[in-house]
Amino acid sequence: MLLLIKRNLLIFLSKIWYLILAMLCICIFFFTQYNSLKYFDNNFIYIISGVDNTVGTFLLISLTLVINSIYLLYTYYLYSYDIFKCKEAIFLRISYKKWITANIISNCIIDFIISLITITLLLIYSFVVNTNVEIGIITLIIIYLSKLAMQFIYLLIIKFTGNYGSILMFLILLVGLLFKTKSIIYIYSLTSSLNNYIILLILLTINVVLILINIYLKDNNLVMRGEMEK
Amino acid sequence: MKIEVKDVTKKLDKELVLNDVSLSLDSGKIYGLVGRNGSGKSMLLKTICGFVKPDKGYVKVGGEDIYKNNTFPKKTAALIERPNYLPDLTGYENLKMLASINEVIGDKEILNTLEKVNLLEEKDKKFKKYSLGMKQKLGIAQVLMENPDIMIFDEPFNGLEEESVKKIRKLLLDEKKKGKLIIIATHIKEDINELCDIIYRVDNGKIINK
Repeated sequence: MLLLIKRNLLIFLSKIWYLILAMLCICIFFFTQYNSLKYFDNNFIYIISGVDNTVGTFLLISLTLVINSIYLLYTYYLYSYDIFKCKEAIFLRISYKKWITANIISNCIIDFIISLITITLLLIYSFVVNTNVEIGIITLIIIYLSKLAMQFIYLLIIKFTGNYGSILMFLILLVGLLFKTKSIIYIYSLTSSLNNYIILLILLTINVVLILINIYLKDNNLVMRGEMEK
Repeated sequence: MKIEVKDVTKKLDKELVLNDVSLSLDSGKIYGLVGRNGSGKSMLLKTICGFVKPDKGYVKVGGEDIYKNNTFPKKTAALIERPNYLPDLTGYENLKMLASINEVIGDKEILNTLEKVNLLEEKDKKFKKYSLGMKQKLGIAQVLMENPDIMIFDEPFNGLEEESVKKIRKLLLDEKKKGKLIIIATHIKEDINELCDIIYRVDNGKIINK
């Protein structure tokens, strides 16, 4: 299983240039729009929580949307390979439960990298606009758990809809643009209304439920959705 | 190792794709599944691999009911339909990555297998640049490399040149002598005549002849 985790990470690394390219575009935008951004540095916490419709909020949405899309791209690539294209090579070598477990662990590592990049860019941004911002370990764990939940929702969608699941997931991300403070993209917005530990508990519960559903649904052969596609 | 398929029936989108299929397969033999396109050969192979749960009946591999126990058959390798691997990795890297899941073989065995299927010279080429024949050879190598007890091939010789076909046929006959259970789905007469000990004719999801 350790080697499957390594494989997942290698697959992510092979697609890393998507992430780098996207980050580069955002950084260029940050610095070219520097003069406009300076005027929106008041009440930064409100900006990142998405309450105000500002350039800063727009940047945060863009950053999160890009990062989540890249993450989904990686997940799509991995799932496409394992479930649709090369099922017999993978699942005749490893049990489904070990496959799920390897995904959870490799995603932990990848999410940590993505979260680190996100936080770094936000800190740079806050430094540029001369505002302090605190991002704690609990927020990082919340970001990881929300991404993990996304991945298992995606797996469920694939089981029910096949490859069209990727379009549906992307639409779910885009919907976030319409519902500013209540959007799933606005993970930070939850911090203004709920205690972080409660959010953590909710997300942990959601993830456990999603994992159990995904494992259980293998019993009903829905994991072999790829067969129905052929 | 024995495979037992009993009264297996499967409907997909209201179409009966497997109709009351029963088979008993033993080690040390090569079995052929023959039939026209869409007869149900591939579906039967997928059912044996644990990928398509039958609506009725059971599949036992090595005495284990794979669907009741919610598992895939052990010591089994398969090449079903068109082989597909990670396009940005070379043929060798793809096999190495798959071999790393269980870690029962090393580089030497992988290279040896590539040589056996006439793919050693192209091992460092990226998969996306492979021709159909090369992809097929890589798929066959994927099946052979870890020395499984059961080998399942769906139209394995598609796109292969004659020299490779002869070489791989000889390989499969050697594997049979080692006591492997090999199943080949094919519609090519020469494959049947040269390789198969027992042939099952499949039509409309049913075994109509043995």
